[in-house]
Amino acid sequence: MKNLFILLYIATFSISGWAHDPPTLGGMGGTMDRMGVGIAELGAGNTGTARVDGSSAAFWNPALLPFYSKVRVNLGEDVRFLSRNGAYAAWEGRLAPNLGAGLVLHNRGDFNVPVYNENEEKLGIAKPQEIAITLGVGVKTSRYNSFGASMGWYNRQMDLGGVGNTQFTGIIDFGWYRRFNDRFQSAFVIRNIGLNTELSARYESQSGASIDGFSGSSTDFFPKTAIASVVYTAPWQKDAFTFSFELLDYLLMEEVWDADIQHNAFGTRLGVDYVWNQWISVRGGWDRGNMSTGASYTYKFGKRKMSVDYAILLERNLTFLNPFAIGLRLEL
Amino acid sequence: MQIKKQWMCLWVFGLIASGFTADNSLVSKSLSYLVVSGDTLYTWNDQLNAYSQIDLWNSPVSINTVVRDKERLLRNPFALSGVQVGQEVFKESDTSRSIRFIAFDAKESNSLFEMQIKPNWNISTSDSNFLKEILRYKQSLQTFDWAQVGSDQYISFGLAGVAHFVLPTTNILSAKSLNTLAFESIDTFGVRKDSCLYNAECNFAKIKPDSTKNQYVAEQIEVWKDSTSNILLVGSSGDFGGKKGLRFRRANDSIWSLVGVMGLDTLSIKDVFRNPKTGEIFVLTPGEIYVSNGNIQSWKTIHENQPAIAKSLKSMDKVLMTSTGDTTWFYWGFPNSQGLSAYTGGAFKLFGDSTQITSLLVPHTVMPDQMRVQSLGSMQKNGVSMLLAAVVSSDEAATVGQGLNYLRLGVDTSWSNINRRRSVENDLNEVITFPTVYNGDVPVQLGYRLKKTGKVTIEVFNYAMEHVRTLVKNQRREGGVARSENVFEDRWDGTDKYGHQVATGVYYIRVKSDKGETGWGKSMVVYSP
Repeated sequence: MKNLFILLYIATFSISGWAHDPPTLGGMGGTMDRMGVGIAELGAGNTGTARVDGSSAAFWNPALLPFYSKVRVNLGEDVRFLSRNGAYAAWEGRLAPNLGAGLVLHNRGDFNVPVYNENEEKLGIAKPQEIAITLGVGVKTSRYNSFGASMGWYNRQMDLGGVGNTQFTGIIDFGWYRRFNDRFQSAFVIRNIGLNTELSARYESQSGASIDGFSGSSTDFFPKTAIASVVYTAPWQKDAFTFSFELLDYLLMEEVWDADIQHNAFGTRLGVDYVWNQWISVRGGWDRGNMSTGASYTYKFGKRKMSVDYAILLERNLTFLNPFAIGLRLEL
Repeated sequence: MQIKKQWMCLWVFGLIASGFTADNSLVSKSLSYLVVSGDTLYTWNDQLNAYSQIDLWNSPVSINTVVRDKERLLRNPFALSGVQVGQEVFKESDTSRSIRFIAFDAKESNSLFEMQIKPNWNISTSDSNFLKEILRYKQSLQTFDWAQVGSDQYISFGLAGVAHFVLPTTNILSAKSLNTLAFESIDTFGVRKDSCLYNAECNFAKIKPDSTKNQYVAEQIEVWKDSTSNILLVGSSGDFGGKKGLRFRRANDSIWSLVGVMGLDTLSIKDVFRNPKTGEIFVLTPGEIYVSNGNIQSWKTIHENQPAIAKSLKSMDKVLMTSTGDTTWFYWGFPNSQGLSAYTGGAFKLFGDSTQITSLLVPHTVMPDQMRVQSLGSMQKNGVSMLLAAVVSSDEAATVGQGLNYLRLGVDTSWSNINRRRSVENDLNEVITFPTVYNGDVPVQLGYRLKKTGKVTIEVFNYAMEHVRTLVKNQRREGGVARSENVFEDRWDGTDKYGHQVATGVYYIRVKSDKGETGWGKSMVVYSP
């Protein structure tokens, strides 16, 4: 088994190196999608599609929702270098024995973009923000199987007097989750499906005002994304290691399906969690070149449970750490 | 051990497959002098000894730059800061776009040099024996001018205190020596009219001006050919027996004759310009602009009907002229009242009888007291005229930039500038983008200042810090300069490494020097076709 994971790691790493960067995948909204939700997930390389104890099943994989035993409230803040900010708030839980639902509000943006015109005259500071609300529902079809779907509403404010703003409704994600046994779990998620013939999550930006004479509109789309995930838990003495592996395929075209390898961008996510004595978790991860580490402290009070998460992220291409990412998970 | 080998192989394979994209950044710098050939603009960089070919007729503006001697430049940047004129002498053909320039360096070495820009942008220095001959007299060489009428080309040289002469340029590069040109249809004039010009052994450098005799100062020369008669006219300034002024001579069948004398109170003539469309002749001196309708005999001063500007004209220090059709344009400047080495000025439009200054157009992007115009030019295409100005802009402390201002007459109502002007104060703590918002039209320019001269790499990242594009890779940039040195390369057109337009969003631009300096700028893309 150990060799299997090593080979998987090597193979996916090589795929990641071979695949080209997807800089145009959905602009800010696309990067927001790829940057994920949750501090615990961030510390483990944004591996969240098969994580039942994560920060937002509605975002990562709505099929996880019926496996929640209690209502959860999760909060987090993630501030990164160059004034980039992000936050989330989630409410999720099981509505019925085989039905779970969740709602998550999350945003990312930049609160300090100095804006100059062509003549180098400073016009002010822009604070572009992208806000999304995702509502998810999951149904358990057996003790080990579940399916889910979620719908997202995106709103982008570029803070340029209306230029570049956009609203988009109806980004649909589908998820499947299977729990084989206590050691093996797997998941498969398809993200960013739109309601049109190409199933493309397409949106249009209208220029409500004018900057330097600009007027018109532009179109963009969130790439359809397929994520396959495997989780393996290995007991070690009284504790356990959990290995998570995700393979991502971003479809760069708007067609329903395009197998041309040039029209797809690939990525991998790897995460390792070590839980010590059920209270302390230490984790590390790798997300398409970004390296992260994190830790959690879990505290029980009565029947309730609270976890405080912390993560440090080293973004690829950069030489500095993003040390400020704090989250809170409450199990009520 | 086996696993390590697999790691290495796959890692190397991944790196290779993912591709290293190196942008072939051209080395260029700011603009100083303009040369217009037809509808194509060439600029001359007087510090890097580089040429640029600029297409202002399409958007975005495209610039191809070549450094004449890059290796030499990198070893020891040499400045031809005294280049007085960069003139296109002639072009061999339109298809080859082979352009020859002759420039005159008066400040440093009083030397002439000639370069040829070929279609592949290699530049060769001529080994013309003729130029070698000219260089023998470089200590006396003071100015030169060039004229073209039809297929005939003429170049004139002025030798300080001695004489000047005019040569047909048809065989200028193939001539074996000065005397073989033989001045078939040209004569010399001036007090030193002797056999020296016909004798390659004559050394003008040893000829001393004689103040007791008529003395000739070849300050400015204008050569043109009368369109109605086969006559070549040469205007030259000098002190003729104690009478300063300009003399105009006419050549016809190798016989020169004096056809006009214009008295002046100065020998410092800044420019003699003839509007080829109207035939008007302008003589520009410090404090005065004279205009003749072409008959040379009668002259008016430009401000006779504009007394309000007479005072300003009296103190002007620099004048440059160009024309677009019937309209003549000139730039004038004078030292400002603070005594700084900056100039104020503006471009004026001359109408009708050429004695009315009817409008003032100042490049709006530069404060007048921070600007001086190095060179002025114009060009036309498809009925649209364009006025060009190579500008040096300064703040109170230092020169902050040079660049090109251009105005599409009748199309645009204000000057456009393809240079940045803002002073960046902090060493790479401040990287500005202008315009910050990319809307699919104007490329985003970068402004930054390095503490030390070094090699710079500039990269663009998206919001998730995924690499988008390398704009500049290991290119030399000067330190201590309060602005970007490469205004045409340190910019981003909103595309990724594959040439695709990026999506709407915020993008981050990193400027990194091999001297350890790193700075960040931000840009917002709001247009994605």
